[in-house]
Amino acid sequence: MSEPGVPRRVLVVDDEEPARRLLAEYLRAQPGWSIVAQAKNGLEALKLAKEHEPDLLLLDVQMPKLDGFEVLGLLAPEIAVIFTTAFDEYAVRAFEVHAVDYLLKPFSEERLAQALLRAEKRLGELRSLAAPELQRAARSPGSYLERLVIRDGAEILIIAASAIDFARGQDDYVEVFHDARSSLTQQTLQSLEASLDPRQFVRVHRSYLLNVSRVARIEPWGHGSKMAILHDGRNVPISRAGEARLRTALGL
Amino acid sequence: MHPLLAQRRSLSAYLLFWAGLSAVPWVLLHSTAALGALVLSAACTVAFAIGTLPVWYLCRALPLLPAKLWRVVSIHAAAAALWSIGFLVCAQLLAELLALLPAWHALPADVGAAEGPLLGVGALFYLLVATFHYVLAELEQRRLAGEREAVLALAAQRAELSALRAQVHPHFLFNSLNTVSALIGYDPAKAREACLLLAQYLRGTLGAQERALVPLREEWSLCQGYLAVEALRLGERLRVEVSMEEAAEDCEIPSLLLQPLVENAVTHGIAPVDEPEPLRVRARCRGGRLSVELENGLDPAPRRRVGGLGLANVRARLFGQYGNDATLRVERGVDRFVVVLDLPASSPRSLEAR
Repeated sequence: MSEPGVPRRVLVVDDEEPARRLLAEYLRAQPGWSIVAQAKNGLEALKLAKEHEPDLLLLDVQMPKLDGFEVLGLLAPEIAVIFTTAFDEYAVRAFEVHAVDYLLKPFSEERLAQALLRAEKRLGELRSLAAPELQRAARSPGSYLERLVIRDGAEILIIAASAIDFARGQDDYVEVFHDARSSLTQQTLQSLEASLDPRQFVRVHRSYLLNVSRVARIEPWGHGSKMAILHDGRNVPISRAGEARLRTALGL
Repeated sequence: MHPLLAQRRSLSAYLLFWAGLSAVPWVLLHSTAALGALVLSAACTVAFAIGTLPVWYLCRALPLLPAKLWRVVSIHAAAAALWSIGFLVCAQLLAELLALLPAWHALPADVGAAEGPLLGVGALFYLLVATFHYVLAELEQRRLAGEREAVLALAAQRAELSALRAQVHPHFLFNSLNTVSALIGYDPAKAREACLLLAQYLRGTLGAQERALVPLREEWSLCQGYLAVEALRLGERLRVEVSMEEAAEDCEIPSLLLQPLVENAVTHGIAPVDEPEPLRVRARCRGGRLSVELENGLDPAPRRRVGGLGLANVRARLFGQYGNDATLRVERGVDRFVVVLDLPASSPRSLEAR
C-alpha cells in the first residue's frame, strides 16, 4: 500500500498527556512509523482520523466523550487499531472486534515494537465490522447499553438509551427515533434489541422495538392487531406476539 | 419497651415468683380468715409486681454511678415510700371488699393491725424490684453491646477488604506507574517526585488501616496525597476546591472514610469528562455535628450507570461506628453528584473536656 521509505501514519489517542508523550517517545525509535496527530478524547480521535487518514490508531479505552470501543465502531475499517489501557478486562473483547493488539499499561518499547510488527502484517486488511460483536464488546457483561453512538453523515450522535422512543428495522439498517428526529445505524434490529435493557425496550413487532415508557395507550387496529399510541401521538404497530411481550413488560 | 413485656414467658415466670412471695404478707397478717388473707396477699403482691414494672425506666434513667449515688438512693427511697403506701392502700381497699363475705369480715381489722409491717414489706419488695431491674438493665446492655460489636466487626472487616481493594487499587497503580514510566523520558525530576508521592500515599493508607478514628485533617491529608498522584496524569483537568473550618479539621472520623469517596469523584466525575467541574470539598462543624460534603460533576451521557458499592461500604462503616447517629446522603443530578456525610462531632480535645 504505502511505498518503501515512507513511514506509516499513526494517530495517538489518549486523554492523559504523559501517556501521549510516552507513545511519542517510543515511536521516535520506530523508523517505519510516524505520528501525524494526537487526540485527547474519542470525538477528537474521529475528527482527526478523518482529517489525517492514519494507517494505525494507538487507542486508549477509557476516555471522555467516546470510549475506545465506540471510536473503533465508527472508524473506517481499513484503519488498524492497537488498544492501550491499564485495564485487562477488555482484552478478550478487543480481539473480538479485531483489534491488532492490546497493550497493558505500563508497557515497554519492545512490547510496542512487537505490536507494530503485527500491525504491519495486518495493514490493508479490512476489519470486518460485525455490529453485534461491537455492541457486545462495548458493554460490560451483565449490563446493558446506556447510550448509542451513531454516525449521521458528518455528525456523530451520542444518544442516551432513555432518549430513544422506538426503532424500526429495515434489512441491515435500523432507524432509531429519538429526540424528535431519526437516525440510521448499520446493524440489525435483533442486535440492537440484545444490547438494550429488555425491561425498557420491547420487540412489539417483527420490525419494531419500542421504549415502553413512551406508550400512552393501546388501541385495536383491525384483524386482531393493535397499535401503540405514544405520548407524542405517533403510532407503532403491535403484532399479536408483540402484544403479549408488551403486556408482560408493562405488568398487565 | 420493657424487656419482660416483650417475652410472655419471662413475664409469667416473673409474676409466678411474686405470687410465691405473697406468703410474706400472708404470714404477717396472721388472720383468722386464713383463706381470705391468702387471696388478699396474693392479689396485692401480684398487683404490686405489675404496678412496679415502670421502675425499669427509672432504673435506666438512674444508672448506678458512684458520683451520683446520693441522688440515686434518695430518688429510689422516695419511690419506695410511694409504692409501699400504694401497697398498703391496695391491701386496705381489697380488705374492705373481701369483708363483704361474712366469713372474712375480720380482714380490715387484721390489715389495720399489721399496717407497719405491711409498709415495711412494701419497701422491701420495692428494693427487690429495683435490684432486679438493675440486673436486667445490665444484661440488656451487654446483649445490645454484643450485637453492636458484631455489626461493627462485620463492617470493619468489609471496610478492610474494600480499603485493600480501593487504596491499592490495581488500576490506580498501573496508571500511576505508566505516568512514572512516561515522565522518566521527559522530566526525570518529576518522575522521582511522582515515586515519592506514590510511596508516601501508599504508606499513609497502610498506617491508616491500623487506626479506627483519625482527625479529619489527617484523613484529608491522605486524600490530598491520592489527588497529587492522580494530578500527575490528569493534569489541569483535576481541580480541587477545599473549604474546611478549623474546628471541623479537629473532629475525628473513621479512617479511610473519605478516601473512597474522593476516588469515586475522580473516577466518575473527573477522568471520564473532557472539561470537568472541580471537585469541591466542604467541612464544617455546627451544633455538635460534623458535616462533610463532596461535590463533583458527572459525565452527562455515561456509557454505563455507576454502581453504589463504594457508598454501601461507607454507610456500613458509619453505622458500625455511630449506629443511627450518622448519615450519608446522596444527591444525584444529571451532571452533578453530591455526597453529604453528617456525623457527631467529636475531637480528642472535646472528649477530654467531658
